Amino acid sequence: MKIFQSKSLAVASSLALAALALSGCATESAGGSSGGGGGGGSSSIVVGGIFSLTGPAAVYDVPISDGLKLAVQEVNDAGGVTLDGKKYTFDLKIEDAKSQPTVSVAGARKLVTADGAKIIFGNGTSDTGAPTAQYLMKQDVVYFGTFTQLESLLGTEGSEHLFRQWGSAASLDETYIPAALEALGIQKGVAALFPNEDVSKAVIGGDEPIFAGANAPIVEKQLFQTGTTDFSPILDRVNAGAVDGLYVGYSQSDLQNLVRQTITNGKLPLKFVTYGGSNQAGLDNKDKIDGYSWQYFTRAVDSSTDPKVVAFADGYKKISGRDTLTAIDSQGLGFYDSFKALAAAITKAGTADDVTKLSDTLHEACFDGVRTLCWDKDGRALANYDMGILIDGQVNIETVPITQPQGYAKLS
Amino acid sequence: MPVVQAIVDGILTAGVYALVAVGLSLILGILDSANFAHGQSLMVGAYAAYVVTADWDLPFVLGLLAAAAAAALLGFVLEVLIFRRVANDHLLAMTASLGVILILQNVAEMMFKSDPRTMARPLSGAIHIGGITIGNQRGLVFLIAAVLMLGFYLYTEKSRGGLALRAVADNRDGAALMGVRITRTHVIVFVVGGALAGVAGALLASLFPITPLVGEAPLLKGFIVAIVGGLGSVPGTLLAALTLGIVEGLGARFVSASFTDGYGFIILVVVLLARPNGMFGLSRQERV
Repeated sequence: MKIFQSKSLAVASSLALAALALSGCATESAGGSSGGGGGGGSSSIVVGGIFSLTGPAAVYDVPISDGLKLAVQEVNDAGGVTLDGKKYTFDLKIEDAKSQPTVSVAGARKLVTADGAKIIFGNGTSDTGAPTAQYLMKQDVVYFGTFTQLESLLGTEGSEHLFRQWGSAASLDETYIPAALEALGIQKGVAALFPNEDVSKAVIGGDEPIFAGANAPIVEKQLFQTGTTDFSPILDRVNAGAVDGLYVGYSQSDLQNLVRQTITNGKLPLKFVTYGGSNQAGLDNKDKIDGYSWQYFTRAVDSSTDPKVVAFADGYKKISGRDTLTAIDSQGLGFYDSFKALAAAITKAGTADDVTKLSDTLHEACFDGVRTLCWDKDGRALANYDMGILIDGQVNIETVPITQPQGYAKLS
Repeated sequence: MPVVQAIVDGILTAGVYALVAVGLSLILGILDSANFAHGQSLMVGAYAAYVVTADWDLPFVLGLLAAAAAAALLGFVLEVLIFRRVANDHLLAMTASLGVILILQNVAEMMFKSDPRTMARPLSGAIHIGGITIGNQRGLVFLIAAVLMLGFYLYTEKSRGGLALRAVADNRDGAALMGVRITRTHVIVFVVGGALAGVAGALLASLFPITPLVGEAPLLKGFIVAIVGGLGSVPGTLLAALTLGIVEGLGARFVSASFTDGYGFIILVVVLLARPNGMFGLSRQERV
């Protein structure tokens, strides 16, 4: 059968196809800004938010933006902050980064130049976060981010006003990985299966000595193309005899696909140590796998019985419209305590405009909220977090505590 | 044996590629313009199947039917409201299809959020034959895709509707002079092409988690298959889908798993250099 013959159309379609792939226009969407928290006017402090509310990164950024909205609402409802005897509420202005680096930088620029924000929260993923932070390092603003690559910017020239919201991958993994390996009974070694990204390489590189130190080394590394759904050939590359566990990362989709297809594969061990905060793949297949572990980065908002966490979860459900929370919603705590710490720092410093004074107040200080969150002199975070272990269909949540560094100030 | 396993995996993957590509081919043939929103038909089908099977707890076969119906309805609406009005302007049609992508993706994100959604597989487990593993659900997906492709081939070759469709694609004015109702043919193309993409979406949803972006990668693969196979050629589409699936499977297994999408573009370039009209394409025929 021959319906159509056209060389030029074939070539034109190929070009258009390549253009579509390169431009990423399929992930773009209508945007705009939305307010949250307090009202505007002269007695308000503008706080900017740059989040990917649409596109692939929305799965991380929407929860952290919802957590920020909740914190702003609670602080405003409690009367805001007082500076020189005058009450101020916070005016949260959010821009959609649309999961695109250029859009994220443009949104940050608008927040700084048009909205006059001196304080900006945002970016849960490195692809949008890194260029945004690099732009903001040249501006006179305080920036709070959660993305992984922020860690490598901290301590460099111009990063004096950058703050991360949870510990580095290496610092979290130092406690998480040995505990997970022991709980899951992994003793021989693991194969690491991660997307082929800079973040993955940094994570695996940092974690190799931790696995080796726990006597279950990473014996194989399989980096797959981002967005892969069919993992059959990748799983077939793993030498099943050399490993008794898989170290997998890190998006929810990747974990779902990897777990389901490992079960179908039938030759590989069914013990998964995951990097990232998703437990859904383990819970969905709990009767078919031998073990699964995950980090929350913050606290277990989906299952913790800690009254502080439960209170946060109740408010977060209302503001996010989510009736049932999952592990990914723990990202919602990313900025919740940070914003409250910031409000306390503004009161303590007596300013919301003097960025240097604000940063100095936040450095080497701790805030006791839902998490206990401290920042060192470079803006690196130290905070307690929860981890989950699934064995024999049963979930156990353990809180990994921190020891507050001596000499750090208290924000309250 | 690893080679055979990689080839089998590739063949199983090819079924969905072919289903997406054949609809693209049809619309390319009729409109002379690429419908980039075809991936959204797949996305709509995937979510329709998800809602029916996961939310309403109905059998997978009803999910397939719902996927086909929802995507066919979308195709009908798009043809009537948009593509009928821009049929004579290729650039406008392509631009409109890009606009449709943005609208439907955002609607899906509002309705379902960006969380990956997973539906239960109708068939679990796998069969192991001589060291080769075939997932039962993947086998079922390939079987359904193969049956649909065969049915579509017979429709285009043996039915009056299929004859009209080929006539319009070959020479629209000539077909109109012979009494073929052009508008109706356009509607059929969008409805049938959409339904096939919808079923492809349901089949994908039975294998992999879905998000509002689920249509992107299959759209790219579908375009590659449609062009490599030769626009409008059902046998060409099948052969190209098998080639792409197998090359991707072998490449990911033995070369690099981080370059999977690249293999398709290599095939595309090589085939266009050697046979600019695709593997089953004929020489260019100018319309006058």
